[in-house]
Amino acid sequence: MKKQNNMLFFVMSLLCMQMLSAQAMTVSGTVSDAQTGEALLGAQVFVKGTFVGTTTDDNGAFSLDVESGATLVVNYIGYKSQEVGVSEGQALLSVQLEADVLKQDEVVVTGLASSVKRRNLATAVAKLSGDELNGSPSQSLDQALGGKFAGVHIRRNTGAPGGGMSVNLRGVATIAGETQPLYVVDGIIVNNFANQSGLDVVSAATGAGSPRPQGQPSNRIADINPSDIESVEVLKGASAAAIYGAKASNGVIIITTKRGTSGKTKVNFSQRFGSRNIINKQGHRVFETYQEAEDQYGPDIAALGNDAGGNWANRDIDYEDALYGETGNLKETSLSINGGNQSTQFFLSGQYLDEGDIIVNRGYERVSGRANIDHRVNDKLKVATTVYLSNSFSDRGITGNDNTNKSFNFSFAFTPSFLDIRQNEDGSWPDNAANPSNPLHTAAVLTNEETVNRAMGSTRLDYNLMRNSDMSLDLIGTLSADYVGQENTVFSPPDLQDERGKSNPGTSVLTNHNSLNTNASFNLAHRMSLGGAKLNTTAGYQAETVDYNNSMIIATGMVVTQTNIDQSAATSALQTRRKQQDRGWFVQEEVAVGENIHVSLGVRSDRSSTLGDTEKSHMYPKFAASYRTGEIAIFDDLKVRTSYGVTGNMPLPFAKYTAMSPLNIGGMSGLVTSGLKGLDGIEPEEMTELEYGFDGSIMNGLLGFEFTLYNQNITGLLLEVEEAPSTGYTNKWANAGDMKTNGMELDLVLNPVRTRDLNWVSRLSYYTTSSEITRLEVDPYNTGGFATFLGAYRIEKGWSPHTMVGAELDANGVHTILGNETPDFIMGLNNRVQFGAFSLVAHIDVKQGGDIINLQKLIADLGGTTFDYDDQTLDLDGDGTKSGNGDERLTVLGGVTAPYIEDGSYVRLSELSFNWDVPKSFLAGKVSSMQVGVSARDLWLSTDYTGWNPDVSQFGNVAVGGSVDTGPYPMSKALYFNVSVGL
Amino acid sequence: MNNLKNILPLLLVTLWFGCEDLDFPDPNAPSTDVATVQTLVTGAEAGMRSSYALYLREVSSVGRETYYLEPADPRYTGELLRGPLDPGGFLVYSPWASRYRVIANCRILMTQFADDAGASGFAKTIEAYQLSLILNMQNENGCKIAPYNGLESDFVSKDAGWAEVAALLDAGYSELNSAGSSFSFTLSSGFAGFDTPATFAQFNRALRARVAVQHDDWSTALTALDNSFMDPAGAMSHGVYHVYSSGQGDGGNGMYADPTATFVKLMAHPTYETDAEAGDPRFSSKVVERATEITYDGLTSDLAPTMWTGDYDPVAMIRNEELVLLKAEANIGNGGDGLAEINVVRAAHGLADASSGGLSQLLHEKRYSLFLEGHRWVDMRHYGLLGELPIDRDGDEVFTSYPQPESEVPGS
Repeated sequence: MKKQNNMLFFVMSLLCMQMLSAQAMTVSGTVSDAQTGEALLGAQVFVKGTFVGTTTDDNGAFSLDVESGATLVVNYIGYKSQEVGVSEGQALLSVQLEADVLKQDEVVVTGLASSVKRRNLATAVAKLSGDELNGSPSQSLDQALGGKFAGVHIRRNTGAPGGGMSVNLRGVATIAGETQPLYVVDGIIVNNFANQSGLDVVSAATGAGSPRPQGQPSNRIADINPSDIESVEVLKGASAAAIYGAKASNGVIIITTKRGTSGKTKVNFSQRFGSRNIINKQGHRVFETYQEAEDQYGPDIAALGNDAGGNWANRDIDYEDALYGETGNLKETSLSINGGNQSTQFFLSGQYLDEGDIIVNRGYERVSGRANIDHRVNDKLKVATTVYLSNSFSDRGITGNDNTNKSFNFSFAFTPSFLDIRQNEDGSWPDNAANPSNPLHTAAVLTNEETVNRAMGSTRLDYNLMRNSDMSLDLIGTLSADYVGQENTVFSPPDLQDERGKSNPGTSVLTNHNSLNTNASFNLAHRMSLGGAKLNTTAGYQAETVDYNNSMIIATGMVVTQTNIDQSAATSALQTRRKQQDRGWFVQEEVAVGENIHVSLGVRSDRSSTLGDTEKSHMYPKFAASYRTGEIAIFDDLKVRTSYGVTGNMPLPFAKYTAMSPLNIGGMSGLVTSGLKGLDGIEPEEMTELEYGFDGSIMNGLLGFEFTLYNQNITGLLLEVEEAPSTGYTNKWANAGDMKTNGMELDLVLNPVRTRDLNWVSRLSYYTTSSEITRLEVDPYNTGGFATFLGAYRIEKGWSPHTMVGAELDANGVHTILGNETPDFIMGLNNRVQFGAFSLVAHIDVKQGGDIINLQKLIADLGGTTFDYDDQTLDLDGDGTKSGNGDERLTVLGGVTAPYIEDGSYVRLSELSFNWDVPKSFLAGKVSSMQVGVSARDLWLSTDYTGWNPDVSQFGNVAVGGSVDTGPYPMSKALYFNVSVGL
Repeated sequence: MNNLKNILPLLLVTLWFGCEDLDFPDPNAPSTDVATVQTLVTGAEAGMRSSYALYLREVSSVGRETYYLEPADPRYTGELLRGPLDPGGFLVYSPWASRYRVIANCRILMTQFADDAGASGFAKTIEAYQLSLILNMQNENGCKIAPYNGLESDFVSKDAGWAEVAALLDAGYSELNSAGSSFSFTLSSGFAGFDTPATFAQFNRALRARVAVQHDDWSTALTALDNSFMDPAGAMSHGVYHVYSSGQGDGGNGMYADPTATFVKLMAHPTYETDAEAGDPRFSSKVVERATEITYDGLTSDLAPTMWTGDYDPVAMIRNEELVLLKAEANIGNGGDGLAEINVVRAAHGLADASSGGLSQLLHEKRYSLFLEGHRWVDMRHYGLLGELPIDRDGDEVFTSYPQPESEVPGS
């Protein structure tokens, strides 16, 4: 067999050589930047209409055997593509590429083994380079994505160190299913679970009122070092993401990390120092007299506000500052080494990040390393491997909802500023008379630590089965694994005020989480030129397995300094496993006719262990077409496009099972119905999207635009609906509704000044979206929040799933609509100005509308400490007297919810950076480049929202019920000084 | 074509993965059909404790025996004392749902193990007990009874509900009487002394007596008491308890709090002190007067309960002291004064005889003997005396019935 293969190869090579040798000539040349004249290494040079080509070397030079009269196409990432005719006798070509501000020539991934230039793309796909992503430092990738794409909403569920963000693409796509997009890093479908920390055990947040986890966990995309990223692509809707089938209805985020380039080895070192502070304080009520205090807290507590002489001491301690007023020190050290020769290239990087935070003892630390290696074994076989390891550590404190009055925010709300609960001189802590815990003591000794070890690796083989001047066939195989080992320890020492009263004081919760995601994919890619048309056929098979094991041990009755769970009086354990196996195949055909018409169609089929019928294949077709006019009227280029696609959203892996839960007594094991009834025949949700739009540019690239409308229909909504509890179950899974989500997206790029010394690029992204439930087979119901009178979401036909209601009913007993989580619009405005060696980047995020149920305000009202408690601007009970806002709100509590539903609009200066490239003449020795600068993240926030965080989501990454504020970790601003040096 | 040979391994791999069976059982928990008599009985017994502390907090608050001063949740002092009770809120929902979850276990026992008379007698008794707790709260608004078809089942009236409770107890009693000398399962130490069909039947009759008294069915009550474990000469604490432990999957009683802590949530109503007889050990052994009072939401008390000294102390379901007082109550209902039984209880606590019996004396004794055991509100309502309960704040009121839970009513 081997012989035959070699034989075939030999014959084909001979044929090719013969064809070429007919009128062959060798053309050499260089490729450089039109503006700066710098040589471009690694630029691709191809003979137009064939697969014959090469790349430029270290000096930007290339040499290629061509037929005379051929046309060369030169491509380089970030530059406009250029065609150059080769005439006989022309030996040396000088190709100067212009920067592609409008990104028309950017290559965009359109399938598992195919890509296309944006110019020809028939769907709206957003792409960002690593530079654009990392304008200002960010702890996690999702933070860096914020505001940079139309149709992408990044929410900071919590400001806690170590992340905890939700990424929403194109509005609501589900109600109770998975909400987060699929993340694909270098072909690996990576784990982005948000694993609960066990904090709920200590806060008892998941108790009386709400069964849902509220630990405000970090999600695992935070483990990835943002500075390793070469580019990020966001496939927002079903039309673009259909090729990912049943997992793609929340969109897909494709991340490509940096890879080595051949040539001289380049070393890049950068160091950042900075500080972090709270961005937005709430304020608190000040008690002017003893009488005010007594009215609120009774004589025992009010007397504590008196001085030794029994007179009102007028004490006013800012506990918000005491709790959240720390300055966190920030350090980040990064090193990357990149180089290689023609056959082997490598990219190595390492980063150490150490960030303090705004609450004492809290912070985030991460060490990570990456090795990306590419090797060309021979003409046919290429191997690319990626290995990424990271270790991170964070302490997130205790914030958010709480049923023990222990969290910082609850304690803050219940501690009036006239009480002095600061540490005594002997180091002991006074008890808090107004609240079951002393938050300053809690902050000093309670730990909520998270250690994550992450290992991701993949190997990709590209094997060229055949290639000639108008056809090629490649086999691409990828194997990958992604391991997460996470340990959370929450330790609440026995000497804390609230622990001392328990039978077994002191709690230590140890959670161990191990998960392994493995992926295998095999794809065939066939490319062919046929007359003026190019055909690109891909087909492939994917297998994915998720194996997740979470165990939690709760120990109570602890020794003061000892967190070890065996140093306890009592322990109990919990374990959750999650196993998922998915198998899918796809076929896709892309056809380009000339330069004007581009058509793509494909289908994906998926089976999954999470579905009721694991044998059934679910089919996800797609179709897309675009037409380019070329230069027309005032347009440099104009493209109209339309696409259609279907994707799915898998049910949660346990949703098909009806299980019994353990419940024991007296050392005997018992079983009871688990409360949640599974659905044997559960189906995936299905999203059908129709997208259309146009894009282009005018006046020689002065203004570029991209406009998209989309229309999504989601059928078979997965709902965790209420079951009448008299059946023994409280909830059940059902595929019981349909929803539609529509939206509009607009991206504008303005390049008003483009000279050798000054380049100003301004980008605007704007989008709106709205959703409506169009079919509901079950009774309308309230969900999210804690109780209807505390604000809840209502799922009802004809309503938006983000509709907020409360205790208020109209005359017919219908819930009055009090708010809606969906913002009116989201806008990002990004400006980059390059002035000689100076560059300035400013990024502003705007959220208009989007209501929040501000229960932290209610908590403060109940504690009697709300900043506006004594203001007299509200008359809610209708008695004609404005008797103080706090009292007014509490008097009508139970019947009136509206005062706690607030507008969450904001304008935020998310990034600001100013850098100076030190002129080469200043550099000495081996230093080839140096940059110094300052940068800031979230420097300024303007909002009418009275809570800490207008992006809050108490329940983490949920589609419905997120905008509930029970006092998350406050948002902070960070300021950095950076130096980077290239060798 | 030769390339086919290159593709062949790929096809084989694809076929291998493609044919793989993706189905597997739930990796986390068993399904209903693998449950045994023992696991169902133990599950039912353990499940009876879910939300039971919440139930006691609620009925004691509504009956003005206690306050639950919970800074983290205004509903205990808002909804329960002032209203309106939220049909969708957890105060209405959680006790209801927890009781029916136990009933679901009882129903599985009755259907999967129909020929085990002991198991069936246990299941019917426990189902009746759970329904009685639901009816105590729901009162005029009724409840749901078997078959439990969720929204398709209509609510039955209060009377039909109590008739079902009585019928289940009686049917369970006759099954227990034919169940031989021992159960096919083991009960926890909370049923010590009540863990054979014959002795469990005494627990069944005790519950029957309680239900009969609530419905002025004095003769049934007296017969049932005779067949129960009532023993005027015995320990007042003898009875059936919920037990707790720190073991795996077990839990605490939810009632204990350190009475000297700076902040205690469950506090006795101030009238429990002002109405107490001087030197009544039932008062002084059940609450302690704190040095500092606790104020929240306009309510103040300095009386912290001391009935439980730790998280794992047992909580009574029904005990001898109540049965003796039920006998007094039945006798009063029959026209007597119940003084003999009242004095039995008083003597057991070292108190002098009461000068006279009668209803108001009986209610006083019940209030002090059975503090925080869930009877005050039910008793005052039974005799139409809710108007006598103290009102602490303008706008507060005493409810007679809980609303039907939102999730049981179609279209709400």
